[in-house]
Amino acid sequence: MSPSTATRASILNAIRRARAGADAVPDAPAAYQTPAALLGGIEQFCAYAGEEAATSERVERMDDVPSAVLRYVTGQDLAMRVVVGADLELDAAAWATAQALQRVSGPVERDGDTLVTGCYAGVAEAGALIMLSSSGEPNEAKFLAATHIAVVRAADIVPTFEALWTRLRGDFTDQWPRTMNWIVGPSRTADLGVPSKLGAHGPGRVHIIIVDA
Amino acid sequence: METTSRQFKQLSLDALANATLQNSLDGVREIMPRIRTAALAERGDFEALCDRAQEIRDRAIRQLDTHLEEFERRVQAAGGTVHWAATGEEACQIVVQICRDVGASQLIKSKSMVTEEIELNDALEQDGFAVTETDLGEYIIQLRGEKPSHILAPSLHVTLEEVAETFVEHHDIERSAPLTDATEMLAEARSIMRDKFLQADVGITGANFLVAETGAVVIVTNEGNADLTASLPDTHIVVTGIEKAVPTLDDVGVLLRVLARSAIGERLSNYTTFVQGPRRAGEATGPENYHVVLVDNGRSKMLGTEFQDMLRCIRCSACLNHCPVYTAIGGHAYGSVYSGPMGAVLTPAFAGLPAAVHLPNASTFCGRCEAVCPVRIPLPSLLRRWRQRELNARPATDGQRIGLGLWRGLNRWPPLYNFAVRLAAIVLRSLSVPGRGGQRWIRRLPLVGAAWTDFRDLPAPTGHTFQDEWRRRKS
Amino acid sequence: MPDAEDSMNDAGARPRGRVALFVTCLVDLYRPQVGSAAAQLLEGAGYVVEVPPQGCCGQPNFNSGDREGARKIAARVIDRFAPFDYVVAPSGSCAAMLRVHYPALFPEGTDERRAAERLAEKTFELTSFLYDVAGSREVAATLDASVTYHDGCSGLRELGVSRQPRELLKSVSGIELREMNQPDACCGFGGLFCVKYPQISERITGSKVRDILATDAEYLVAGDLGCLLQMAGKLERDGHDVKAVHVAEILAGATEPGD
Repeated sequence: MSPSTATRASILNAIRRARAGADAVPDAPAAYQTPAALLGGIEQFCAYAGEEAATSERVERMDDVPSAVLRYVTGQDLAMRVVVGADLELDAAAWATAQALQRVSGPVERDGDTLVTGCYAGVAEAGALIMLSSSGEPNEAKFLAATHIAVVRAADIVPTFEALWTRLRGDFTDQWPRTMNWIVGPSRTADLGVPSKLGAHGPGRVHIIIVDA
Repeated sequence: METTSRQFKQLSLDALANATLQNSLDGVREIMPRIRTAALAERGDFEALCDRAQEIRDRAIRQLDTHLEEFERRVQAAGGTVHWAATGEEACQIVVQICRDVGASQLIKSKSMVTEEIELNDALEQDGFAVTETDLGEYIIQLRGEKPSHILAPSLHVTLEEVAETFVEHHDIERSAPLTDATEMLAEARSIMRDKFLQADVGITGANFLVAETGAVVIVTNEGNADLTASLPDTHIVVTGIEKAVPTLDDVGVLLRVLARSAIGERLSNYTTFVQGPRRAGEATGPENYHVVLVDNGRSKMLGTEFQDMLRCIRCSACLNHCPVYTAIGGHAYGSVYSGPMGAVLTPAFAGLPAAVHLPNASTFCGRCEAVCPVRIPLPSLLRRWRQRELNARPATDGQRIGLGLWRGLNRWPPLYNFAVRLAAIVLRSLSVPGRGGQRWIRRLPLVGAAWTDFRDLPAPTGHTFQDEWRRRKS
Repeated sequence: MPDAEDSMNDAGARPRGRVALFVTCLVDLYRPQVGSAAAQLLEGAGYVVEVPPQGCCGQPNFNSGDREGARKIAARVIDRFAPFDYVVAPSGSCAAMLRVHYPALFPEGTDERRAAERLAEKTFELTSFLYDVAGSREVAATLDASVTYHDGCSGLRELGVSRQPRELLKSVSGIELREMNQPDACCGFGGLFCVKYPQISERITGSKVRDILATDAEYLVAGDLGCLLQMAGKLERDGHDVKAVHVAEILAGATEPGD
């Protein structure tokens, strides 16, 4: 037996021995039910994300996204160069409405880049964006960018974590995505005093575009 | 686990005399309870959530073997390797070996209490690896060669001016003006750290939870440093205590709801990351090598004992923030990586009671820790259990044992007890002098009494006992 | 049964029960006035008050880890106080010792355990008894002064005593109740802690004193004498005029300064 296997056995045995003679372990209760009064939708999502310094806006269709991105980038006085994630379902024609933008497909290199991505979902109870790794997408991009513009469909915003698990379990049975990142607003730190400073290692700006259709 | 807890008395005196530390601690004492209360007010079901969180963690540790085995299976199926370490030394050896095997030289780390507990950085540095902490607070104390003073805010004891001095000393940057602004310091740290992230061969993280259902490791930060640590280098090593395993994603959801609220009064931390394994076929980036090191180091020994409940801990630090002792002396005084009430229970378990005997004793049993613990650990009771063990280990000639025995004896015979109390009332009264408010006060007591009067006055007793007065009245 | 809303019972009306006063070591030794005030309040609420021969509740032994000694002391207390309808203590920590900690000192399924549980059920801290059991909502006392109330930790966290003393205090004619910042913060007494780690204790009390002084109240009120001795001692050493009194003394209208 290799040392690690022997250690494994001894640890597991120690755990089992400790349980011997103890009361039977009860079954898991049913999933937690959030009281109805606390449940929220898109308004709650935007409000909570906003409290964590993420801005948000709603557009009608996916085709409206490029002009919304251009509006945001101009309004924030950012460079026209935007890195667009492969997971964003927009064809080249849609970008025609935002020709001033200099679109590149990644990777995020310079710390000053604006990254535009899609999202798997949003969770209203925390104002959180849910993002999954995918084969086309470098996962670290959304942490290296200085500004992150996240596009999420209204229908993909769920009220609670439990609702998120239901969706995920429906979409993935055997192999889960390699990473799932929950993101609430820009990165921050309180290690240099309060109030917290934004842009600790991850993005210092997060803007959410919610697509109704 | 190495500690300097034997020096608790001196360390706490040093802490009390440290004005800048006291200033930071005042902030913790005043602000943290307030923001937690505000966060809870929004969730009318917070107590129900804590009940559920307690149930989840209790059930998890009672079936820890099942969850660890299932977790291991799934990590292996995803292409990762799981290692088991009985002790801290073994865990360090495993990590060092992995780093040697991949030919690493630059390592980055995100904050992990267990890696502090096992002193991983020392082991890595001794083997010639350069390790950089990426959590800003940990980075600051790493540069300063100090230990963390709080679970979530390791550099709580460091002022902004001291951070500037430290950066100026260690960062090789041309400066035209002194470094004073926090935003500038952050930009500087971000830029320096960015290079480290991009150059590192190995990223080491901890884990907040291990999910048996999917084999996921859950890592929670506000800075995003753990995410970069876990995704940029070619090798990702997770070092975690074995007790972090929970059965399902549903369990993690409940625990996440109470974690950030209890810790910093937030609904959720900025980043919550679930990692399954190494880079998949077809993925452009991600670590080639993925390792999870499961560390026992005294945890399984706590199962089945009166200290089992302590394993429920999710390291939120609410108990520290609400503790009158912690907020008077800070984390360093405990001489252990685990401080505050949770540290006072855990340190004797990991380092042995003789080394840590002051920690369970330096408590008023006010119970605030238990009241704010999101997984309802009965911390005062556990501290009392340590006191019981320690007392029973003392010889029968020990002063405190004798005193307690005398007190027990006195209470068997009310007439004897009454006599003793009557005598004490008279003696204390005789030592008193007039003072404020028309009261009499004792300014100085000899021997053990000096431990009181060196620091405060003692109101004088009335001079006769209640029981005597009652008997006189009734006759 | 007399109307539960009455705070004063007519002399000669049928008593509502026999209360054994658990006077506590510190009240016995230090301020018998607190015991008298407690008895007066309980009699006023219509109960017969008796004081069986008694000693300590066993807290010092229990908290020091001398579980065996605590058990032996508890056994005596249980015997002496068993014959009464209620046991009332002018102290959150002593009442909590009997109500919360006594039963677990005895093995499950034994007669002693059952006796301890019976005692626990009928043991109350004073203001909690008056408000929750006797149904008192007001007292007849008068005090033209500002007061601030400190929540003793055991009473608050082990017995839920918080609203009751405040409601009763507010009913004192002329009184002004001012809440200090974090009234539930520990005073730093902690039994033997205050002499084993006196410097830390002093720092904790210092924060408390700061909060007390910020209310500018004339009186500091609490339901535990240990807390009061600690805070009064620090206030006096630092040269402040705030008077520290037990809640029983105020409610019974027995707060003459000086002794």
